[in-house]
Amino acid sequence: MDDLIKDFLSEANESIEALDRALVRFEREPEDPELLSEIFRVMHTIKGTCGFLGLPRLAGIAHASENVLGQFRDGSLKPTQDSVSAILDSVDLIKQLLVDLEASGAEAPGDDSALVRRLKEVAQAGDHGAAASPVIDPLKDRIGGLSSLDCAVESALGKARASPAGIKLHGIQEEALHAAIRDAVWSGIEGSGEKSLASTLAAFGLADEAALVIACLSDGLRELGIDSGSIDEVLKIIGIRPAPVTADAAPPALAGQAGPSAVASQTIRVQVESLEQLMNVASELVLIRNQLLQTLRAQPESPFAGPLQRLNHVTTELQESVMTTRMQPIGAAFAKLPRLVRDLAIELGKRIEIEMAGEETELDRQVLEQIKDPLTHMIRNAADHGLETPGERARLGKPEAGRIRLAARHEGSHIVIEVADDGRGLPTSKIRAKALAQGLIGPAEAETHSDALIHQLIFHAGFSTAAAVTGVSGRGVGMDVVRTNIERIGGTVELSSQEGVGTKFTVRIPLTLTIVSALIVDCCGQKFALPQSSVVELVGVGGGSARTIESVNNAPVLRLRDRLLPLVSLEELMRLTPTGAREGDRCILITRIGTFSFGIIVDRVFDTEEIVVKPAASALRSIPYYSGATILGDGAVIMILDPKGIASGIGSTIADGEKEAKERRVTEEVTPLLIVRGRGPALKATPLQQVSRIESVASESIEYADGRPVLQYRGRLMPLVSIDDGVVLDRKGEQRPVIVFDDNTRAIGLVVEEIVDIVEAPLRQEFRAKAPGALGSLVVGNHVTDILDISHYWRAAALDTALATQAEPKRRALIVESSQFQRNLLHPLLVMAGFEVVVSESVAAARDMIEAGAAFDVILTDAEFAHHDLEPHAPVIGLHDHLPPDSDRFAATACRFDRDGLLSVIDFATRKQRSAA
Amino acid sequence: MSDQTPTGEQAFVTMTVGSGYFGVPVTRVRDVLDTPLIYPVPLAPPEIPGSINLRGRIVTAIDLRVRLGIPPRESSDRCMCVIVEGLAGEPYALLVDEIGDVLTLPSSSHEANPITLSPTWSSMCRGLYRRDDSLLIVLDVEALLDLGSRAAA
Repeated sequence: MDDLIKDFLSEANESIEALDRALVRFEREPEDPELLSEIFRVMHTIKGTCGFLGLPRLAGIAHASENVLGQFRDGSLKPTQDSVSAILDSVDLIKQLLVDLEASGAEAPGDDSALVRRLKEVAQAGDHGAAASPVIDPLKDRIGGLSSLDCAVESALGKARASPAGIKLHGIQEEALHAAIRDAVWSGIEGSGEKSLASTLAAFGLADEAALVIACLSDGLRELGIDSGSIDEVLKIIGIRPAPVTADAAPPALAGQAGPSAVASQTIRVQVESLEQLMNVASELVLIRNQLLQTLRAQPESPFAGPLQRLNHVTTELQESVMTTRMQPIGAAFAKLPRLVRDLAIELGKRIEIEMAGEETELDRQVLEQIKDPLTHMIRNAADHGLETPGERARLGKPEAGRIRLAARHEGSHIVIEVADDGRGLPTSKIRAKALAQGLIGPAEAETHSDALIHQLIFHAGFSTAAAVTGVSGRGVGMDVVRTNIERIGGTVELSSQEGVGTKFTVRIPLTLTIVSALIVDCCGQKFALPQSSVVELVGVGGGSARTIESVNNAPVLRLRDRLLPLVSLEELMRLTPTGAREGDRCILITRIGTFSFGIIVDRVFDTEEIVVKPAASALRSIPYYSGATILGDGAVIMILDPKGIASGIGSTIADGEKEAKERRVTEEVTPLLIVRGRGPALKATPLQQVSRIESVASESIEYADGRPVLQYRGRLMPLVSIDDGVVLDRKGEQRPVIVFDDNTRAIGLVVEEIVDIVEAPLRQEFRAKAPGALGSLVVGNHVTDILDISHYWRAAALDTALATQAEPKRRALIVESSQFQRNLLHPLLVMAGFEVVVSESVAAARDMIEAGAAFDVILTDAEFAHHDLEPHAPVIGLHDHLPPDSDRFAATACRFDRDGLLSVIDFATRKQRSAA
Repeated sequence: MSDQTPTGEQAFVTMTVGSGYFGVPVTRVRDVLDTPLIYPVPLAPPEIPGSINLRGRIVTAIDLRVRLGIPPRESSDRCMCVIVEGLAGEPYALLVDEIGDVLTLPSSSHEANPITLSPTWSSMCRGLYRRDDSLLIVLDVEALLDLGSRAAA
């Protein structure tokens, strides 16, 4: 690729990031002239450079945007959301073009006329507004005004500099020269004749270069598409003026421009690779110094002691300076967030303000790259889940605009980033219920876990409480990705939340990845390093210590306070042979990976040392327990242990609850089932996700309406149905468990004799239904269990007819499912939701139905089915047995057994369909 | 072969491993060490006795005796190593019994691997050179360093 293009790319990418942010700020503070001129300048530079480099698409878009910006600047156009959006769109397009340019080295072909037209329309609106503008000079008009001249001057100077005769142009303060030439030519065109071009150039000591500059300027004007007649006219004006060489002709612009250019000359661009190389060499120097210091410790009287001490200081200083060259302010990662928030606010129909603090906090550029994604995720989450709609906020007495606060600061060798919102906070009870339903926690844990522990569950893979999958979030990926990404760079993420007040994420990450503080441990004479960030606690066992290692079925465990921690013996894991007799006391490093804690047994812990992390040799990368290698002060090469790898490597011996729960779901596709009993020993089950609540009801509170048993429940009358004829409802002085099924408009209570258990089992039909009220039977833990047909009980409560008279016209749903059992599960659910339901066994049969003229509002099908032929007819919802992976093959996806989720997805899809129609 | 000079000659660093006489193209050799200090790496494949600290660089050692299936040397024995670089510029130390002279050999005396050579060896050797008193086996550095494919084969 051309070096010029390379330079342009790196410059343009930086300035365009800044542009995004500046524009969003500008939309809110249109009165800030400095901000606007900054925006204008960036856009202008892009236009000028692109013109010079021969990138017509980029130049065209930048030119059109610049016109609009120019009108903002001279006040003939008021910035509106529309006009700013148009400019943001052009910024996006410029970004895309830059990406293409970087990839291919050439501008991708394409047609931008629509966007350019849109920008022109915006600009024209401004022209009409500025009716009182002075009469335009014809020549001025023909060359496209000052901005176009400015552009021509810019490209002319570039050309002149590139030509061999233009050698003297180098080293001259670019911006000052540029402004002086532009002003001189402009004054000539305007006829005021204050300064001539020749005298201006002479003032810069460039009298000899005048011809070159004029020739280049004429080229520049021609490239902008200005007709040759006008160019000749311009040349005539600037050419015929004599050059009165005076000493005091230095343009006033020079003094004003000296500041920024002086700053510019103090920074240079350096390839990242050279910095990396410098960093490596500095790291090696640190190691050599450590080695020398270690040697010296044995000989305190050495003549080298003095110089070595100085070497020590200098090396430390060098290391720090090299580190700072790699540092970048975190503002670089924050830069694109205001734009993101603005777009999210429009998309979600919310008002969101973003507040940022500590943008100047610096951190290693490698780390900076790694936190960009997690930050974006957290902001999305805050905007989508955290903040309420303006209406909701007004009702709650909060300011209508939600607030997201991002703050960064240094804390020791870490950087702390906080992302806080003042939204609704985490719905603790909802998370609890959902986690229980998904089997992430057991019923006992659901009872006893503190709110803070429950909140941690949102970091689990696949967990989402969002009722509907929106374009923004709610697919159950996100927070786990955030945590994984942050942990990968040795960071931690914590959250605190208060319902109704807000949520705050606190991310703590090391400043740099190459030098970490590590514990040096010894096991059987073999040394290892373990990053200190992953060690929570050190515990001594055996010998003088009161604690001992116990074992459960040969698996070592440690009783620590009120918990039982699984232990890993490094000796066994690394297959080491003990050296001589052990003195008895050993050391346990308590390590935490996410929410899972375990201990690593070692013989001895030496001390902490700052180590330089080097990647493990490729031949050793197949060993999961190492994250790299390092050289100690004494020159020894040791391996760095990876606690994450150790935790996953020992999965078979240690019950990693988190991992196990996830695996079970994926491999067996089990469903949590609520097992109940009517009269007699027969067991009945219903998928837990169909159940809204379980209540205990005293028989005294059961009343009768129209001869049917009802219960006053949460301000409504809820009909009660008995699970079988044997369960008597009104036996005095007794409590009865009642299972509540609620579809948000109506509820029924199913009275049972006893709640037996909640178990997880694969939902596979083993026998056909034999009695009313049962869908079929399956074997759950050695017992034949009937699956309850809830629709039977809805009918029994005479609710079907009530539902049928709903005001809305009946929506039609088509279920395409090969399994009778699944069809039977879905059918009542949809009927309850007021759908007219048609079932089909295969996609082909469904297609025939549609071709025969049947119309549907929504089609539900197994996510595995090929469904393309159905798509044009109705929104197709893909059904999964477990939580859906991110899939955009469908209008929406949902989990088969998640009633609420499924219904809201259907509702969303049909409503969208209707509003579209 | 890119290591060849225009005159059809090639220079080799010669070495002995067990009773075998081997050569590695001189252009591949970065350094030669006598009896380096090897820091063991637990769980590493048997060919890798550990890592070496070469002036601040971590170098992975590969024992050619194990790699070539020759019975291991006594731990007290002297050993030497040549430092070579893998494809990604990663440094490796090939442990041998002794390093000999650098020989420049004419390509006319080069022969292909004899078909009777064991599959392990023939995958790691690139033919041999006839010399008056001995045969010099040319080692294929890439194949030596590729521990993964051997395990798969």
